[in-house]
Amino acid sequence: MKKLLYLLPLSLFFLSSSCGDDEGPVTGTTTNLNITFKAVYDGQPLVFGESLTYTDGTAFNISKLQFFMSNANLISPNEADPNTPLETELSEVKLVDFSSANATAAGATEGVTITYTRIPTGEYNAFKFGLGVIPEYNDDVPADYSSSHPLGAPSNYWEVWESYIFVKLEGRTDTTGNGEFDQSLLYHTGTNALFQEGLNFSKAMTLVEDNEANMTIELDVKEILAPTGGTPINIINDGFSHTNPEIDGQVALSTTVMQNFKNAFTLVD
Amino acid sequence: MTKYLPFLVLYILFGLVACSDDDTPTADPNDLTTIAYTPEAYTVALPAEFPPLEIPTDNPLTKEGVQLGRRLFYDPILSADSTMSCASCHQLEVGFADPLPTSVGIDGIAGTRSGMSLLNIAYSLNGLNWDGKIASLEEQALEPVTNEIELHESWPNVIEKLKRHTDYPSRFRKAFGIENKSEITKELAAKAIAQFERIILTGANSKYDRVLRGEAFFTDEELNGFDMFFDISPELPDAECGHCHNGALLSTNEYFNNGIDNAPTLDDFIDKGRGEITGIPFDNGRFRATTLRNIEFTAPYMHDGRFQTLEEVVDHYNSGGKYAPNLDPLILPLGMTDSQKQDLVAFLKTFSDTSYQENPDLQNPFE
Repeated sequence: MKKLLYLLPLSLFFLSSSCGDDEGPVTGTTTNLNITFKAVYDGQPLVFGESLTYTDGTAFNISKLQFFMSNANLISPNEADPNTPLETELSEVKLVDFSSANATAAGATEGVTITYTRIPTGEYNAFKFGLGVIPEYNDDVPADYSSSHPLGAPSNYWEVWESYIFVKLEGRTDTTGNGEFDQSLLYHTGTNALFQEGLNFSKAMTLVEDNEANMTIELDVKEILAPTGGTPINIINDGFSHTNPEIDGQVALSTTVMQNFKNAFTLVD
Repeated sequence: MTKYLPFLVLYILFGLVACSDDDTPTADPNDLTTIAYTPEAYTVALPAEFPPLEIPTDNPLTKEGVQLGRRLFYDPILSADSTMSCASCHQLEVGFADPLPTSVGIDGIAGTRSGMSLLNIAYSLNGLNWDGKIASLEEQALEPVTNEIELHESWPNVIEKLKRHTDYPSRFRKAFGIENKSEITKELAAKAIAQFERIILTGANSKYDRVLRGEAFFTDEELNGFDMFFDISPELPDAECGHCHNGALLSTNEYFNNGIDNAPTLDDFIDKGRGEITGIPFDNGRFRATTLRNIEFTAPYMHDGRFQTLEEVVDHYNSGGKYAPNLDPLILPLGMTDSQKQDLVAFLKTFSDTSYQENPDLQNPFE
């Protein structure tokens, strides 16, 4: 327990109030906002376990993909001070996990939808979030939270770093071309230094009372591994990183993964 | 008509008195309302590093509920021939697990899976059993009674036996406030068993915990094992254990294919595990990662009890596992030497803590 005990109830209160989307002192008219994340590979729905072909011809598959999303806010114009747009908080920390959705083709097409309720109606022009767990909560440990809370799952925490695992991308590669996915492909990234702020998605939206609004964002795994205009990661030789600072190259590799990950999102609707 | 009026009044009066007599609680042998219903909350002494317990609001822990559940757990009354109880396959001395590779029921028929340890089962919120088939302890407690290769009984029979019992009706009254024996149900029995199972907790007094608290020191061998388990030292191989077995519970309760079966295709698993439940081929051969608390005592290991010793388990993981398209990427050749494997086993034994066995609330009430 790295935090003092008296801080626990306070942090739990703030987290639950921010993540419990239908709580809070919202006044005036409201509506719901659905934000759907779709995991794709090269623009096509990503189905876990299906063979994919990498840029160098290597066959590989993906078996896990998830990321923490922090400080998800809606942005709206500020007439009084146009240089300081207004922000409406949607959530502080959410885990977006494609495990269930992308296990099937139908689920991969549907994606993972987060529904925010009781969002004040009005004009908005962007959605933004940070990739990873904000340092304020990354200093906590899973035992500070209930087991069903995203930050309470020990599988999303790595004790060696004293950090949550910001993103997980896992699969296997067929290094010999014989049809067997014989080698592990795994990127687990974390630590405060790798937190990525400022993912911004511009979209003019007028939220009207009782009229649900929708937004769809694609996450293209190809852009994580082989970004357009960038250098592809060698998924055979550099296909494994726990972001272990004691192992040469892992932090650099994870930094690349996080930067690519940040740029792999596209607003499609 | 008026000459009959006095008789009519008398008739009604007698009728009322007679009805009144029939409703007198003491006249009903099944009535339980003379027994006080004053349940007391059961306070769990959670290890300091454990997350808060999540208890269903419709089944709070009470002393009376836990004690009823404890009796039902240990009582062979739940089986058709009164020879086996829950405790037959979940034995206190071995971490509430089954020492047999696969559990054997009252008819001498072995199932296909090993009885899992129930230690800290209250935290298994990602599905129970090896495959996550059942969502809650309350639901799970219903299943073994009617399972043909387990207790092979019917719930109506069990309920009749409980109603006739000299002690149980009163305990159901005290635990759940029922007013009549007829209100004893399988759902209440399952709730009581679930309450008992939620207090099967361990975690504060192992050497591992004491070292983390600064109250003890690892031996050199244990420290090497610790470093490999959590990938702390670049000088030693990463045993990759801590990904699936971490946190205070030493488990993530997630589902993995840990490479114990060769399956050239996803259809080739003999036991499809998680895939049998989800219907998703990529889940075939995946099983729930169990807690490693008291792993020293919960042999044999894996869902089918194929490994008799921790040394065999470590050998398996060190080998990199057997091929399947969905082999977990954390299962890979580890490169541990024989000495390092012994160090890892030494560390695994620091998870041992038998102090839970001294908790009288967990012990067999019939001994």
